[in-house]
Amino acid sequence: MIYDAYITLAVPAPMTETAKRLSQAFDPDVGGYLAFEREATDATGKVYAVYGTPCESSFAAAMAYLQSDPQALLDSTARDYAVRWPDDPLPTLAEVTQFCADLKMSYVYGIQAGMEEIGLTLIS
Amino acid sequence: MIPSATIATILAPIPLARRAQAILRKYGGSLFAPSQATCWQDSAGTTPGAQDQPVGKLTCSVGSGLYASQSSSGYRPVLRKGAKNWVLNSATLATQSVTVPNVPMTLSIYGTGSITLSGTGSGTLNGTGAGNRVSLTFTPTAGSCTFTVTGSVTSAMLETGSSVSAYVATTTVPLSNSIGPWWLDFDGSDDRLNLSAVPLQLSDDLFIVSGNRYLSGVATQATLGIGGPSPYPNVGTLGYSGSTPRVTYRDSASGIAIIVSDTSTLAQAIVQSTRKQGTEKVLRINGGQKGETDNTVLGAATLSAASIGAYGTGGSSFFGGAIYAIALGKGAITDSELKIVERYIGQLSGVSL
Repeated sequence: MIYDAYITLAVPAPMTETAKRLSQAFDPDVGGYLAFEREATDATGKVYAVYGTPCESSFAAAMAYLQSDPQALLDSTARDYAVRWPDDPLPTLAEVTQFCADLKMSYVYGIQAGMEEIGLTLIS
Repeated sequence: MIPSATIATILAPIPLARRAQAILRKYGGSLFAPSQATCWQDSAGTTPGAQDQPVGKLTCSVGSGLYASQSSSGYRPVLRKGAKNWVLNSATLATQSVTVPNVPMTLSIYGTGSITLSGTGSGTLNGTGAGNRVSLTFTPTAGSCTFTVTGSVTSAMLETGSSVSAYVATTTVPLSNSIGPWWLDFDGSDDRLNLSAVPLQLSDDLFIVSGNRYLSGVATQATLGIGGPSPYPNVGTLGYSGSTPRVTYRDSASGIAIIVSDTSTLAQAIVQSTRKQGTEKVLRINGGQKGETDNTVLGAATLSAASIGAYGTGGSSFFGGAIYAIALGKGAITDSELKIVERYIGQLSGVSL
């Protein structure tokens, strides 16, 4: 596995649990659920849960596609859950659809640069 | 008759590494020295570590069985060796912005074009020819620095410090040039490795030695944090306040001891150490004591977690910069033994003591 890309993700704070469940499937290691534990605000003071991670360029490309197709994102997540997390609850299609609608992404290298591009500032 | 060559071998000083590792074993210690031999890309330790790739597990080099790991991909430091090139697609440079720390940085290029800095940095670097390398050292404020390219600029390298290192070509992510010590690149935002057990308690006599170079991060950072939840007891937390090295000890009540160095060491590799014997606690930088000896009597502390690159419970005090090596042990280490361990950590950090 060669990490040759970077992705920064941000969702409004109320979507944190959905983001963590999806991250549990995205992350090839076992700690995906631990993601989205830092918070940032935009210019209006709205709070976001943020996460930045090195990744393969293929994953970065896939995320762009999956954001446009919540059903495909949910199907992809369900396939991983069936293998690795069979006892954990999947997010619903409504939750995933809302996640996709609210998700902000950056592909610049590093979480600080990514948040700057998205227009967010870390607060915790 | 014993051949003279054999006698020379017998009399030759035992290598520093062996002496230091023997001392660490004597005190039941651990040594975390990142390299391809000690790092793994995943937290389970199945994929060997690789230069410029994230580190999911770091194993102890002296056989203590302790390890540090991170199971969440986004919280991992990156394994580097030598100088890191911060610009991307460096072979033929295009205009780009780079998030930089508030430290001296050096930009070097070949070609006949020029680069103009804006944003958090300023200055202009004019090329003098395809075969000539020219450089510009500048100190930006922290944040996004834009490098605007005009004409032909090739083999560009942006690195911390005031000197020019061997060029390394980058494409989509920063890379290091393989010339120099191994180190872990912590982003100062959320990177940390969690230790598999709490190695020290506040009641112990102990020592901790950290080879590191601070670049950026939150107001107070920990290169090694051993602590617990609120009110955040901790033991020998070596880190920084701003760019000034410090160490803290805190019990589970109100007792706290903080020793702060009298000098900033921004962007310099240093060997930072602390020793506690009884109530006596000291901070040492590059082999010499800094600040006053602290004899605060501390009470009991419940310590539940330890992290490299953050406070012990992992959710704060994120360190931004390089960690070359960390050694720790339990017991009343002597002055001469501590100096040997410090010299060895210095050797691993590119610091001559």
